[in-house]
Amino acid sequence: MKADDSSLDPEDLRAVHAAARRALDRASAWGVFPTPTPVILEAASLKIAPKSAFDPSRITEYLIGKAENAAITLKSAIAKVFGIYDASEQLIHIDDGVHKSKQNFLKLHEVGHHELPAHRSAFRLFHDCEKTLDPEISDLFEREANNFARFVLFQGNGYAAMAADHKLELRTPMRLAGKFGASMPLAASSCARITGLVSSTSSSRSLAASAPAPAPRSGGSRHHRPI
Amino acid sequence: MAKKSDEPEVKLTLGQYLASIREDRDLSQRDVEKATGKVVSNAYLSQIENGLIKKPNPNILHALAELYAVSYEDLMERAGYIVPTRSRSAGQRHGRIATFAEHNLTDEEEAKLVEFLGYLRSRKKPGGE
Repeated sequence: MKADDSSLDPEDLRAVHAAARRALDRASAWGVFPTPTPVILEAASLKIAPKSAFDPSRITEYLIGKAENAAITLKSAIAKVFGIYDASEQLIHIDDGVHKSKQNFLKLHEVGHHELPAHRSAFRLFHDCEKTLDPEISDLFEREANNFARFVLFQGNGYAAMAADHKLELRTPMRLAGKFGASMPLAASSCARITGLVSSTSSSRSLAASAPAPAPRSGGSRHHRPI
Repeated sequence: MAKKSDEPEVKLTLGQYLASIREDRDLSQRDVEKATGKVVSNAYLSQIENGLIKKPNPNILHALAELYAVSYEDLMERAGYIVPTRSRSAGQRHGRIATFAEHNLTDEEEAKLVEFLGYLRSRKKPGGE
């Protein structure tokens, strides 16, 4: 089993689910399949950057006149990131290279940072200073955003209710992934949650922590994200 | 009573500070529970104020900052949730930008990305593009 970085205390999970419900309510998205990510974004007053931070022309334009070292550092940073939420601009930058089936979760993860006021306010603070979120809180915010995205994409218990009507077989997550606009790995991991193999609450963390971490693709520690 | 100028300033703990602000706002712990729509329960607030919970979830701090009309940043700092960038160790998660990242950014990478996003914002403003 891979490390799961989505576990939360029950109280924290309840707060995240409340924010996710509000987002679904505002977009009138309950019962609409696949879950209408663009409508949820619009209802949240969020936009996808048309020319994003991942656009090579933007990167090149920025690097004009800058030292080679700056280019290496920025490109290295961009290579590690798939999505960015710019709290000041209410803008989301998405790496178009990410497979389409995974983009809905990716976008909804960034919507989570916006819809959770504690995240939105915090990420406005660090543009012009040498301060940062404590790594423990940064981790927490990521897990909260993951749970937000999962709840919205699968419309709370909507996925569980549908999965319960299907046979417990490998094809079930495949069928339901398309229905909800999720990727296969995410649908499979959610199926595992429903059947009790893993959990969203903190009780699963010790089990996850005991699993060997996958080798990083490049430098730095790796985050596993079931998108 | 006026404080003597040579008296060293004692920094209140997060709990003491929140209790003093709540009292200043003339609110009971039950009032807070009601006003925050039960986001901050009476029992939970009591534990924070008494120092039994030293690390409340940031969403609790945000709700209290809104209700008391105090700075959320200040509460986050008092809780130890906002720290200098230099205090982050290698391998710990970056925290200046909300990213969906496969790996942690180094301090240098994150600083460069912050700068790049600033550039993209400036290009959007009148006179930018």
